[in-house]
Amino acid sequence: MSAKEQVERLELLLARVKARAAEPRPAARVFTAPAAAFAAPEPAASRYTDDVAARAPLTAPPTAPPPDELQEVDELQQVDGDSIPPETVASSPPEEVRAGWSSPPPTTNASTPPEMYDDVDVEVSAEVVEVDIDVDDVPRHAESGVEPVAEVARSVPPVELDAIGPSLGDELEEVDGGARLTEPHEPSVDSEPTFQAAAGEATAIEAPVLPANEIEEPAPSSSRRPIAPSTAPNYDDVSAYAEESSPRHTPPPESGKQVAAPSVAPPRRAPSTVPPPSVEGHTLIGGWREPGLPRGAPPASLGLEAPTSPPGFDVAEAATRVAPEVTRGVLPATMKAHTIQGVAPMFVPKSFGELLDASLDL
Amino acid sequence: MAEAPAPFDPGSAVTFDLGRGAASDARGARVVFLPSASLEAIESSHPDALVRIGEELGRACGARASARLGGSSGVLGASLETVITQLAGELALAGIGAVQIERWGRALVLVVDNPVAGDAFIGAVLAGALGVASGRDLGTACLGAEGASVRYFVGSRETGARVTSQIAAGEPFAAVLQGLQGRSA
Repeated sequence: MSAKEQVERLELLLARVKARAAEPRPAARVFTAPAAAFAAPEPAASRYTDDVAARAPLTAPPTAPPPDELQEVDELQQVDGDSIPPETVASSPPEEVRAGWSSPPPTTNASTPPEMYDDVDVEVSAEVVEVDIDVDDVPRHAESGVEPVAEVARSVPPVELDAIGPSLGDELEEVDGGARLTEPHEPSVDSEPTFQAAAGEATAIEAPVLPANEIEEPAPSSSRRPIAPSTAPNYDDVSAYAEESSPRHTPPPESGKQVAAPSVAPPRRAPSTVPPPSVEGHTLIGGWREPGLPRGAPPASLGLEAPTSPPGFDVAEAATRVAPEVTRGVLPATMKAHTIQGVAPMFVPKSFGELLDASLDL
Repeated sequence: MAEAPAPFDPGSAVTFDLGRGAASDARGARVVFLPSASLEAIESSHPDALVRIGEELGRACGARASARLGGSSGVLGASLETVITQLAGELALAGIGAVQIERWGRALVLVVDNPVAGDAFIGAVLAGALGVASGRDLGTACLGAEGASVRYFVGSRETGARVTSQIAAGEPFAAVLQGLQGRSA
């Protein structure tokens, strides 16, 4: 097949699809989804227990929902006759999807000739196909980031749909504006968990409602952190931090970028009425002046004088240095401490012979 | 005030008879002039012979000094200055060195500056000169050198031997001389 022929066929297919999309469709049309739609481990939303769970299939992406889910939608539409035809829910993709569609979806087999769409009749059946998929078997943290779907919805006990019929209509009203629920969830102040700081306990944690088949993915590390203005610490009330053993810190982001956290208990400022003493007649960098006092030198009544110290003199070191303290006695410069008694015999030889004889006698 | 000693007269101390090839002292006794190196050679080979040569050299010097002073009685009755003047003159002519007297109390000490040979030779010369000049039997003991000067104690042979042993034991010569003073007192 040449490229030209392929383009022509694709254009025919596009025109056919547009014609079908423009045709009015029955309100309660139910079709079975192809088996390929169940290839992914979609959770079985066979039971809708409350309004949260009931909202889940209505916010599903424009992929083919499970047949039982479609069955549930038909029943819900019958309960609420004022609702908009469910073609935007089950039988047709959203508008933005149709507007941007220009080629067959990648899930379809590209080798399939377009004649298959002409000849094959879609088998419509109201038979409910139950698909038992064990959600627990799905790894919680798969490599692709797949998370368990609608943990809140599965934890709520089941309730009959008839029991919630009157209120379900209101919920379907919200579904009609379904684009609003399918929009990306933006964190807002109202949806953030709030803490009653005064009561000391967390209350009314309003988590964002997720559809049953919506994949709850963890927020990326670079996303904005929730800010709770109502839980801002009151720094004036220092007693609120008395029982804390460790300071509060905003956990560092996974990327390693440290987010500056405010100090738990900022140091108190002692009220001062006298300016600090200046060093060598100079004030500190930037200067300091007591509010309310006139500019210039401090008044003499304060008794503050600039210390005069030699250069290199460290006041703190001089205060802690240990120096010897010497105490000396009072003594005279000279003192007589000996007494000589008698006269030493002096040998003065009169001749050489006398000295020689004296030396020989030694 | 004592009279000044008569100066040493070296005239006619040595006569050289060139025709006969002889040298003689003032008394006509023949003398031989030896190089100082010969003394070192004899000291190394025959130390006792060098001591013997020294004693004979000193005797000759003492005899000439004594002759100048009128014999042994004149030497013993003369002053220290007169005796040392004549004795030092004779030892200088012989080339022994410059001799002077030190009196350490009652001890007589001779100091020789610029000695020509070793302690044993010089000690023998001094003992021979003083013995002949005074007519006493005496001995000398080396107290040690101080620079170019060597001190010798003059006394009896027994005392000289004791001083030599004490100096060899390491005692200072002043202490040895001090010890001799108390012994005699």
